[in-house]
Amino acid sequence: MIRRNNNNSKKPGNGLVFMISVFCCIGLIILVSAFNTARVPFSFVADYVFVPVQNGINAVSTAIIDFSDNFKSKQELLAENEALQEEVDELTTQNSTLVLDTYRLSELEELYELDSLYTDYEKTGAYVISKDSGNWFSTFTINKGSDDGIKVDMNVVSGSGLVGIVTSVGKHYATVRSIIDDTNAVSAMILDTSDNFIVSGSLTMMSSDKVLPFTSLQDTDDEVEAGDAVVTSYISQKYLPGLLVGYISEIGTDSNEITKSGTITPVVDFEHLQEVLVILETKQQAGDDEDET
Amino acid sequence: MKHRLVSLIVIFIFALLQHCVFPVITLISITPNLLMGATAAYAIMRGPKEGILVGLICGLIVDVFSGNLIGTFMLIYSVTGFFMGFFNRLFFPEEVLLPLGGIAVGDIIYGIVVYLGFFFIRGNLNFGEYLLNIILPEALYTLVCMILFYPLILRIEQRFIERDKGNANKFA
Repeated sequence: MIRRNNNNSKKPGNGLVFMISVFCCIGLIILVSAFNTARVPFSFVADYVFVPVQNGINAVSTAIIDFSDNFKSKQELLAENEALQEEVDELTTQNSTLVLDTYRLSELEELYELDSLYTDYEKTGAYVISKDSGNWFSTFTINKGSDDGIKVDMNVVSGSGLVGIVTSVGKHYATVRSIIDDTNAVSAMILDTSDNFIVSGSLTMMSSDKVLPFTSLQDTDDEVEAGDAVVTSYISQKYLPGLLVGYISEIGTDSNEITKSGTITPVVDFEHLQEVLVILETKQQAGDDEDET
Repeated sequence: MKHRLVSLIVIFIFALLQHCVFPVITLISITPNLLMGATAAYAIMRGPKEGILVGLICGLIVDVFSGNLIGTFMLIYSVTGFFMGFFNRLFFPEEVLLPLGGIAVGDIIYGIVVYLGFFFIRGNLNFGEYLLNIILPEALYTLVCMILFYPLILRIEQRFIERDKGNANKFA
């Protein structure tokens, strides 16, 4: 529709509408940052207009993927089965050794009257129904929300590795910000040595080399090398301890000769995320429970 | 009224395509920014005020699902829509080149604004990397997808233009 600005027109000018909309947006930003409940009407629309359709699309795409999987040849399946059986055997032996270790650990903890730090976290599974925020950020939506017990700041894992953290919750959906997002930083530690450091999200490094940068590692004995496992630390404010993040890819000393930095290969494939697990306990709750016992 | 409703449905479909369909079927890790494409297209076809309105709605959709403060992307999309709207004076339905060019330009402006507002402010100075790896590929991919979708939007728009012309003739 081609509109010409008539001098006799009583409609508001372009500039006025622009200023009004800018003020409204800024006002909305301030409102939402001050009152968290201001999100509620928007979550309501998202819940009842978008999420059901997204769930439907997800169901269709899962069905299509399953259908195409049916065409795998028998040879492929047999080979895959054999490889998986070997892996299962290996993991079973590893598991039995670990079970023995946990018995010893609880005996020693009792002996020293220490509270048990490692607990089995209760998890719930969810599907990724939409990948949002475009190419600049890394957030996605899952199909479980407050009705399923999801709360803000719950950690999200997939398979064995850390994926991200819940940032907002509706009744039937939740948004998760992944650890590769530029605004995200995880307090992590080397599994073997328990040295703490920071892993930051980085859009450019993930898109070019598929690695995440880390900084502030103090490794005076030079024990850390490429291939070491990196997990979330005990001192993280938002992440539960012990969740696997990835493995060291490169490590080098900083110019200040005190700290080290480098890159980590995350263990999760962020481009093909379909199912995730949400840990139903936040770091805050874990701390509160500990204070009570 | 019907005019606005149809645009709303188009925006809704674009949002679903952008968030649910393209991430699954794409082989490269970039998704097209169809909502920005829709904002630029409607802004060029209808003018600055409509550009602002469409921008607000598209920005709202992105804001609600991205976990940001609601209003941040609304601001970015509506401002881009406003400036794209000034190309309205050069708009003719038969010419396809201008709107598509405008969509690509709009997407690049969007990328620059996001970089300035979210990354530059935090001290991230390597604009070149973002330009090459994200802004230009996204603009290109959006352009290619809009080559498919823009004619459909245009056809819907033309039906409403003809209907309005028909109504205007009744007054003559």
